[in-house]
Amino acid sequence: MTEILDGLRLSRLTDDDLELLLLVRHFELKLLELYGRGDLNGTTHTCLGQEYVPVSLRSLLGPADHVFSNHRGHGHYLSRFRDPHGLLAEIMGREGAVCGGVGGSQHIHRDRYMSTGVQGESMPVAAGVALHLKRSEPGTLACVHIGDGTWGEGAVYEALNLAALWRLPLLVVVENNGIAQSTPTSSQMAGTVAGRAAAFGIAHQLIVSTDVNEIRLSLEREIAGVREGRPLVVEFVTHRLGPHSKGDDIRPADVVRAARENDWYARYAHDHPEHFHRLDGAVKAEVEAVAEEVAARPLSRWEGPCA
Amino acid sequence: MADIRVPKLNNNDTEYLVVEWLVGNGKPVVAGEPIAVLETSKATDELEAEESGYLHHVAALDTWIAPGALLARITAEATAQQPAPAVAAPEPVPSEDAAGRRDTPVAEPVVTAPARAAMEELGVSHAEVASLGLAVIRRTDVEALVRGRTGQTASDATEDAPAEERQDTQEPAAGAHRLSRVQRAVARAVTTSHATIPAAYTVVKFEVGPLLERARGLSREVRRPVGLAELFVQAVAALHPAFPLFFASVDGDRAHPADAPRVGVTFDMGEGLYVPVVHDTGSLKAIADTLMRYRLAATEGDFREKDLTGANIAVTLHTDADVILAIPLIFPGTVCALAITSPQPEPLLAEDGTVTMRTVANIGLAYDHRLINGRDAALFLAALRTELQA
Amino acid sequence: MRVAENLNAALHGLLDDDHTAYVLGEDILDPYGGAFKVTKGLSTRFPERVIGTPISEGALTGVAAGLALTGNTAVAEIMFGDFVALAFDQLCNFASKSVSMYGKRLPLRMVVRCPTGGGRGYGPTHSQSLQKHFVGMPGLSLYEMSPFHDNRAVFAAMLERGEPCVFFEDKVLYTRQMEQVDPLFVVRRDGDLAVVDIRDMGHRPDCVVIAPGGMVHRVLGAMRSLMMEEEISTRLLVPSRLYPLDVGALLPHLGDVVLVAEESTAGGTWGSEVAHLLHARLWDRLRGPVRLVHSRASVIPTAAHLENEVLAGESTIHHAVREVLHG
Repeated sequence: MTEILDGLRLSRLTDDDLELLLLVRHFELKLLELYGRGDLNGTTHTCLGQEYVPVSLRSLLGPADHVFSNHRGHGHYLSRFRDPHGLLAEIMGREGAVCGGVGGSQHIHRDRYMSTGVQGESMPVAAGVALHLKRSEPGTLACVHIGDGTWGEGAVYEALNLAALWRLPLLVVVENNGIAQSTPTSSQMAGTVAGRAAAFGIAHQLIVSTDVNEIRLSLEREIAGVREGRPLVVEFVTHRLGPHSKGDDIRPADVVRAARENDWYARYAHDHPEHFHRLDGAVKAEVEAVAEEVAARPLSRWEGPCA
Repeated sequence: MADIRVPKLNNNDTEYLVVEWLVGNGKPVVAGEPIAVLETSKATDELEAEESGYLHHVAALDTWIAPGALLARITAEATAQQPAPAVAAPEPVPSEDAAGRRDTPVAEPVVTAPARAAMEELGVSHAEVASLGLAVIRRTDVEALVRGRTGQTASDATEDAPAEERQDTQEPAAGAHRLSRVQRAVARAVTTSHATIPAAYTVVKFEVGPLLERARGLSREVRRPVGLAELFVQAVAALHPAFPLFFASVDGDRAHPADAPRVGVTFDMGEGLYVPVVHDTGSLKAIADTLMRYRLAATEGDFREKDLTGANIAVTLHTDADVILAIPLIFPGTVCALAITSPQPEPLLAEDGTVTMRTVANIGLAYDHRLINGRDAALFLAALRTELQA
Repeated sequence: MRVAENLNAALHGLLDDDHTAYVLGEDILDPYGGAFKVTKGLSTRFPERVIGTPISEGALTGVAAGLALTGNTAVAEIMFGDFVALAFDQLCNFASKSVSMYGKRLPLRMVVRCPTGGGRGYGPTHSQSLQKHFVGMPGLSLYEMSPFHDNRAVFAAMLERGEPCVFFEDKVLYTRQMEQVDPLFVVRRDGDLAVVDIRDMGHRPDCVVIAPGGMVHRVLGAMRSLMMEEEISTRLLVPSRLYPLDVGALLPHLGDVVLVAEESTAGGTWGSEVAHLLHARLWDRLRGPVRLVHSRASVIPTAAHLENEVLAGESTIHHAVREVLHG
């Protein structure tokens, strides 16, 4: 796969798209840095290497669509809301946190965006939301982000069964990064994602590209079909650059190197250096400023579970 | 001839509702034809005839019927119309249903087991407890009812049951003697009397020889047995105008006099101690009549309610051989009781040294010392003696 | 009216009055109308909002949550309450937590109905009373069906809470009549609490039994035999909401001897939670610890004679009361 991609040049992005990609990248890097310094409590799951997935999708989704994210959701959130302050405050438990510091990195709810912490759990919920949208707001859809490891959970299959039976406007975005926590896909998944979608008669599309513009072109029609009640599984073959959470990367060196070589960040810098460098430094500085400002905020307050 | 019984239609219900008859009563029916519709909690089900013949309804419409109960019958011939189908008697419902569904509220009280035992012991009828108007009858309710019956008058001691009731048939437990119903009433009266009446006692010796002579003559005259009892009742009653307080009842520091003498007399023929009342003390004949009747009644305990109520003084008879002293009970609600003991021969030494015999009897008066003092008692007894000699 | 009919009427009424209401479950469509016929007639009248699902307890509960998330009212039926185990993640980790874990209150109008209890010979995995496994879950309320609480009102109360509720329906109640009791008893309501006394009591009862709706007839049977045989007077209190429990509502009706009777098997029961709450308030008034009456610590056998030995019944309650009063 790497060999094929080597010959391809990433197309030029808009400033907007590139800034967003860079924002997510630097945000995640910042988190790892803060964690390393001991400034972050709990754990965090970074999406390094996979940022292009939500950035690509954001022009194909509207504010009326529901988005369900997972534990590796910072890129999903930032692509939806471009709110590094609120997200970092949530992660650090500071005032202005998008969920008061209660949900943390994994449990975020804002408008029609919701992330949950148990793999597969959001699939049936998304199906229920899709049912509602089909009845009340036809033309809108529910989008669920899952990973390759998520396919181990029964809830995924139950939801797909319903989506197909009831013709729900459900878009399942699979970020298949070849590894589930510490388990390579080959050790935890029999068969393929494509085979699974086909079992329910659900359309499946495989995306190997990391080119935002190209991805959008290839998905436009299919996602329009979802809005008409034709559920779709989009499988992104992607690479997780960082560890599962923090400090738990046990992959062999060659796998990690391959991930680095496919990384859009390096490739775009290589393919469009002036564009890259014009914005990279600025975004990095922006993230620094955000981190400094949020870290100085007082602790968040919560009225309690019965409020 | 076939019995059609309700099959078990499901695992949920203990009864089903008979919703509809599909074949009329007495009408012909063919095997396999649906005859009735039963409703379960899940669905309605049709039951089919197993044989051909004529269908006879047993269960009634709109009633609940349990699995196994008889729903209908099929006869070979069109027999005469069955009487109108009765309400189907459901199988006995399991105890867990006992406190559940009941279609119509019932006015019958629930009587606990201890209450039932008390009813038997104390001779209380079901009609009596039902009239209490309580939903649940407990032992204490039965006991209160009994206490309410045995009120404040002298003869209440024996009026604890209508004369019709004779229920003291409890078998005593091994080694223990159980008091009869009548005796229990006596016991209650005695206990109350001892607890509430501070009694004193005075005895006077009466010469009764001439009295006994006169009694024999009077018996022939009134053609009724006349003895000491009759004569004393007459004499005591005659003292009422002069000694009204002796017929009164005490209430705190007041005495309520009686309008007329009503003399209770003790009878114990071995069946129980009774104290029936002589209401009509006007003539010796009436007294003798009454006492004769009471004597007979006492042999069987066959008294009426009114016989045993209303006394305001009592004459107690202790004329069995050689009883020379008896201290009677003052019945609650009265203030004195006279005791007549057995006539005894007594030798009398004359001034000239000759010895004659006379017949005497000790006549005692128990009296409520709150109202009557010793002097009064002595005066009463003296007056009584005078009255008897007249 | 039978309890099942009252419940059916409640669902009809809900769908009539609330146009965002959905009812979903397995085999609930007409003509079958649900395993216990509780949903009879609903899909005929409301075909769009009464949805039959495949055998997917987890997913159907999740769908209900998704419908609630988007502002609808969702009533999900789990065919046998035992199967709610398959929906545990959706209830525990999603629906109940979502009400508060996102920092601001997120209302979810959602009821999961669980036909519950044994006594029908359905065996170990179709006869359980699983209330205890949901006690103490923040954001989740537990209610139980009773013959003294009109189901329309209970549903209104559950949905009013704006958080997911599990509604336990003891199957033995379905065929019973609403409200009706032996004339020996008198039933009154004190707010949400049903209070059953022996008629013309006139004084404080010898003991008080707290029980969820499914135990009502067994407790009443024991109350009758206790009075008839031993003149022991008992009062029955039936709360509609099991958790969070309104302990304050119970207090004025309690004396110094209290029992809790439930069909749950022994260990970590709802009753132990009730006892704990009462001990904290009534310690110096109680003659002894709150006595728990429940089924034995065992699977629930299928054969009737074996099932009877495990499940708490009328005689279990009768003996417990006697023991507690007479030692």
